[in-house]
Amino acid sequence: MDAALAGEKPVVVQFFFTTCTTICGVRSAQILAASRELRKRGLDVGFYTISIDPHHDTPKVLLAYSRHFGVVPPPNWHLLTGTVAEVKRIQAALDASDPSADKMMHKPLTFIHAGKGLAWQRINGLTSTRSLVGMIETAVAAAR
Amino acid sequence: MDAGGLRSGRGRATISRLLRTGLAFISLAIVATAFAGTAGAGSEVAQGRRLYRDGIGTDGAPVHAVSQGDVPMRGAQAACVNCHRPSGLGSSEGGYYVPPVSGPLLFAPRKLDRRRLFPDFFHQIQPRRFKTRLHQPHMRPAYTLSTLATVLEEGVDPAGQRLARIMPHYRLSKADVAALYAYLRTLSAHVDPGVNQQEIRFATVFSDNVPAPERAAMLSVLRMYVHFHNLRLHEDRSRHRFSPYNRSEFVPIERAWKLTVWELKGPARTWRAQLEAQYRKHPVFALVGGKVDGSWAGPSRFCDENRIPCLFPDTELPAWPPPKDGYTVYFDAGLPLEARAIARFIASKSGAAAGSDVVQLTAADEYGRVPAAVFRHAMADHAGPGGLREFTFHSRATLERRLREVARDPKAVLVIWPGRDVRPTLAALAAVDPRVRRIFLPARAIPAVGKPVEPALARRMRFAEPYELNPSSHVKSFETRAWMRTRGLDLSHPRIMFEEYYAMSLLEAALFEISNDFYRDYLLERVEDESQKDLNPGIYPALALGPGERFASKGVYIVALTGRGEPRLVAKSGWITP
Repeated sequence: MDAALAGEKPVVVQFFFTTCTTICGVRSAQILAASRELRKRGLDVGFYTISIDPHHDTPKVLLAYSRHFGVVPPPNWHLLTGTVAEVKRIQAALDASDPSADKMMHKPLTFIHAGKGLAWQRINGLTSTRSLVGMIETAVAAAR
Repeated sequence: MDAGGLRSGRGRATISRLLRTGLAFISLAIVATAFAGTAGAGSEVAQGRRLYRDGIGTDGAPVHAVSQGDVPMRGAQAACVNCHRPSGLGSSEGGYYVPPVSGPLLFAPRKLDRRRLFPDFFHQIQPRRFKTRLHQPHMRPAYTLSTLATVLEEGVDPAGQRLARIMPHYRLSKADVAALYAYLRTLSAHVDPGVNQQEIRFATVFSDNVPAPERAAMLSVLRMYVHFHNLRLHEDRSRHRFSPYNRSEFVPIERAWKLTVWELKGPARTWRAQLEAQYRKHPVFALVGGKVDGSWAGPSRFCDENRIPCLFPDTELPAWPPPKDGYTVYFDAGLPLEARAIARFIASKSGAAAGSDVVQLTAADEYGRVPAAVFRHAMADHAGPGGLREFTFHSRATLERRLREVARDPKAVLVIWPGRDVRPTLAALAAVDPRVRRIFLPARAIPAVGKPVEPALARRMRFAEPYELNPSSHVKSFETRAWMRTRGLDLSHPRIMFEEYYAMSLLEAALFEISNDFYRDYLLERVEDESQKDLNPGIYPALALGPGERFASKGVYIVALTGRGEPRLVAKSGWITP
């Protein structure tokens, strides 16, 4: 994760867990739609979805979840898990810590980072795919 | 009938009436055939359920939907159950409120019920946008078949109001909507058995081979918890118009609790039938706590088929592999968990070469066979198939013979699954003292290890320990101990007594959340949600479920026994979640 963030490639980060109802399914489907759209426009963006339930979301579970969204999920969609401490560290760094141990209360945050040394953009809530793609494009264009 | 002969007019009328009736019969026949045609593919309600749960339309293909304006979703991704949950009572998550779509609520005008929304208002940390939305409910008349079609396709309710954009717009056929309508009418349409206006009934299950002191210790906690709940309720009810913090509106939703003990006798394969018989005599709303020494597979089928939440039985042998949409919730996955974790640990230490050195020794009963099969699969995943040497033993003598065979191999790694009685295995190990590299055993073998442990043997043994190594690192352990002491309970068996306290406190929290909506699926969903609040009395490092999750703790430590004096456990790994 550190390596990805230190690089030049634009990065989009979200937090989720595989048993999440309500919002995570939509957001994951949106990542796929957005990634397709961005590829068409020649943009190479890394999507990082990090589990806030690492005990349950082992790599095997994450792989099964990604397949739920299409036979071949895109190669630039990375589903990540780790230790509780590691996940909490990333959340704290992005000011995305959950208000309690209850993962149902997690916030639908999306973070866009256009490249090394640039500021992070933070979106709270769900948007349309068009808006999301637009925001990513704008951030990348501003970085150039 | 007019005997004076038919006049032509009446005759014609009679004939046309006959024709009309005939036609009516024919159209009825057509409708009946059409219905039979659908019934051939499953009744309308069954088709509606498939749409609700799996996102499959009446034509057998995944449905298509669009959420948030332009996010395409299909099939299982778009299934109603994801947000509206199996009970149809909805959920709240990530700042979004998902309203109920159960039959009685959907097909009636919207009524404001603060009790049902109480947890969403006051028990959840949600953003302001969420609370604002709750304060602006969309009042609407009852849904009909036609307005249901409209809301699913256009996102507009019967009062012309727009639903939140996250609610997908579906492309559904008339048959799809009709099927869903038929299913939703049945969804949480009736309160489940085991509850009436005065009380709600629970049962706790013990197999007769659980030692009496353990059973007594666990029951003391369960009964005390029930007793104090009923005491508090009695106080509330006995004061006329009692209303501290406006709780008077909640007093009517509370029920007295009644707990029955169901004792299972004989072999585990007879338990399911015994549970059915007990249930027929005393229908209960849910099972809670208890302990069995043997496989939960039979009871699990009882719980699943009757759709009864079975909350936290203590067992080392959960139904395995776990059934889809199962109704049993466990503390941890017992021996299958330990088997997976040991495989993971071995593979991480020795990589792909691991398989060739490992010898699995398995007792001939379910305590041996079940984890052995899981271990075999897990090793195949990590280190490729083959290479794993396996032996089954039926007695201490055969085990000793095998141990002597492998004792000469200093590279060997033994993984031993003792039978129901672990003592012969440990006696065999002590007698042979195999000078192998490692000996892995399940946690249940730990209490039988002789004191003092032969230090050389102890150094070679490793156990999979699914519990917290330092319970007093959890603040809640003090509170729980205090609760027990102040009620005069003898803390003879701390771990299993704390388990029962956890099960009851979680049940209590979930019961408050379900208000008057006594639907078993809804209780299970609220148990999933409430388990994430900080109720862990310290027996495990972490206890939490999530939607559809059935094992609250998901890991183990690999531990060794220190040989000096009173043996204690020391961690040889971090928390492994296989």
